[in-house]
Amino acid sequence: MALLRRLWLPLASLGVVAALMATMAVLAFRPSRVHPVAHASAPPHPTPTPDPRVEEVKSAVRTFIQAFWDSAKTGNPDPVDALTVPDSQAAGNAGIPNAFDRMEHHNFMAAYIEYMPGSWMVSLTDGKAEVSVSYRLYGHDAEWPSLHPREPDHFTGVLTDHLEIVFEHGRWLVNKVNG
Amino acid sequence: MMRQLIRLILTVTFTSVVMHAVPPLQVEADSEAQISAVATLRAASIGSTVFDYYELSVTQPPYGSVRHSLPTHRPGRYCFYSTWTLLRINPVEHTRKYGVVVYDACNHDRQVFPVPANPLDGACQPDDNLHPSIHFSLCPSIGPGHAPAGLAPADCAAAAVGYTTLDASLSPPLLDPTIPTPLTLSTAFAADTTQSLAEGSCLAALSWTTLAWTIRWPDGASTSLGPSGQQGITTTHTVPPTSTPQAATVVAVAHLHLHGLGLDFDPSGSLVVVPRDADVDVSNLTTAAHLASAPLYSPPLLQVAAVPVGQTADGQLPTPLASTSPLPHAVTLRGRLLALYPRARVLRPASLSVDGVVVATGSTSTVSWTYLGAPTDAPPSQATPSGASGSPTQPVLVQYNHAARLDPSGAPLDETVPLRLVTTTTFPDGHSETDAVDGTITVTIYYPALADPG
Repeated sequence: MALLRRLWLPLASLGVVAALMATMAVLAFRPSRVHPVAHASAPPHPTPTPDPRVEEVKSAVRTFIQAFWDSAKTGNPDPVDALTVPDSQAAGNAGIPNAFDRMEHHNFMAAYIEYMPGSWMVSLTDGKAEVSVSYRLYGHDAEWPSLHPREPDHFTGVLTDHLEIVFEHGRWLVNKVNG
Repeated sequence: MMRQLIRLILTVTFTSVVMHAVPPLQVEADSEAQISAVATLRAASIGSTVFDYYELSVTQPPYGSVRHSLPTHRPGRYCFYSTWTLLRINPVEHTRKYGVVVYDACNHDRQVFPVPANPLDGACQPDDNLHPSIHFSLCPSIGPGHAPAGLAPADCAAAAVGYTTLDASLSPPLLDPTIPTPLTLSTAFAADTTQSLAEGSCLAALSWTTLAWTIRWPDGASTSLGPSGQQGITTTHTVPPTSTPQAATVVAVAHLHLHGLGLDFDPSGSLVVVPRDADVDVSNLTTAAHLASAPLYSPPLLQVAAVPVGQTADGQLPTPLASTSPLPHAVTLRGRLLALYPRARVLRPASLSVDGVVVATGSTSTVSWTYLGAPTDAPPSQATPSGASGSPTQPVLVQYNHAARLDPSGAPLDETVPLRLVTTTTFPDGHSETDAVDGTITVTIYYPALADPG
């Protein structure tokens, strides 16, 4: 009872607001009494056909990022190199997880990669694309090469990569990463 | 209009309620969360020389950056290393532009292109014909008084030595076509010689000296001169009459020896100070100046010898005179102690050659001896045992209580004292070498009542 006495005013106010909103909604959204007037409706806007290359580029980037983080586990940068333009900046940077393994003797073992919705930015020109994407990893830090976990699984903070992709020899290859 | 306004108010209100009810998906902007490699040019000083080197910062989320120096040879512990190539020199401003290639030794030596902390150090293509196919990772410019760390003199900026000018004045300036022309050449080192040599050899605390000179005269004749410290020389040569009047030109080359301190990387990538030597040729003609091949040190031709001192009748062993020359043969009396003070006898002195020309000789001295022979008849308390060693001031003591042995024809045979001598040879540029020579001292035994067969 005492509780009811304390809360009666806020509850009453909320009721008044709700009733007012309901009334306004009815007034705003009821059918109009105005005689229908024949008026021309705006023509429908044509929906642009999505460029199929965008999905190809996104797929190539996902494959590259997956291979990049897999190399932290395996200590083998070759699968990442295979996805880059030979002798490019990306080919050089592809070895960073592997180098980190061997210099620091631990690394992050990613179980899966969660891409941030709405973070994909793809700019396509002839045979070349500039891509920016944000993602976070789910996994744990582990010793390398033993892979003994040093902590439980968790999400990392958001990582953002900027890549330059080129279409060569029938496939999309990464030419530059965060360069 | 009114209905639209009310719709707007409701939409905003609803949206506001929803947003406060459900926490939004937060996409944090993390400036460190990006895989990257950044190269920063760092400096370490030795005296007045500043050594430049790159530090590589590798960012591997979610850990942030790890920083390591970038050594100039394959590392023992870390993956990344670099090579430096001289691209351009400004001899007036003493600035040098280098092309740096960064490699990942853990990834098949693939080239890495780190982002330079200084955008001016960005990757570059060489704009000359020397290295047309290389795309460098970084292209730093270093200023006067600076040198790259981790480079031996031969890899530094050898071409910079070419700009170490030697002033050469020749008098008279013209060759006479009718009569021989006596030419007088005077040379002097430019005021910035030490700085140019330090920058060209990547050495700090530099000391240098001229080992020799080579002068090439207009008539093709060549003159070789000896050391001159840090001073120039004056020399003359008479040129035969030329067919036509022409300007007198001469190429003067000073062969220098450099000694200083370099900054190198140890296997863990840490900087270490190392003493270094280099030999360079500088000239009044830039094309004749270069990092020279090392001078040739030829060892001496030595013979085992000794200064002999025989025991006197009263049993004393005198001290040898300092002026006594060592000989490979000694004479002793039967039953008397013989003291042999071993010395290496120099048959041909050691020599220092530059470009095939002997420019100086070395000085050889004996350091120690070892007796390789069998015990003799010397009293046990005084005899030199087999295998014993000593300094040149200590004698080898032998004695023979028998008459001379005879060969099949009846001729007396000498006794032999086999020795090994260790010597040190020192050259004018401070270089020294140690040698060992084995040989024997032959000893003829005389005894009273020996009949003279002659």
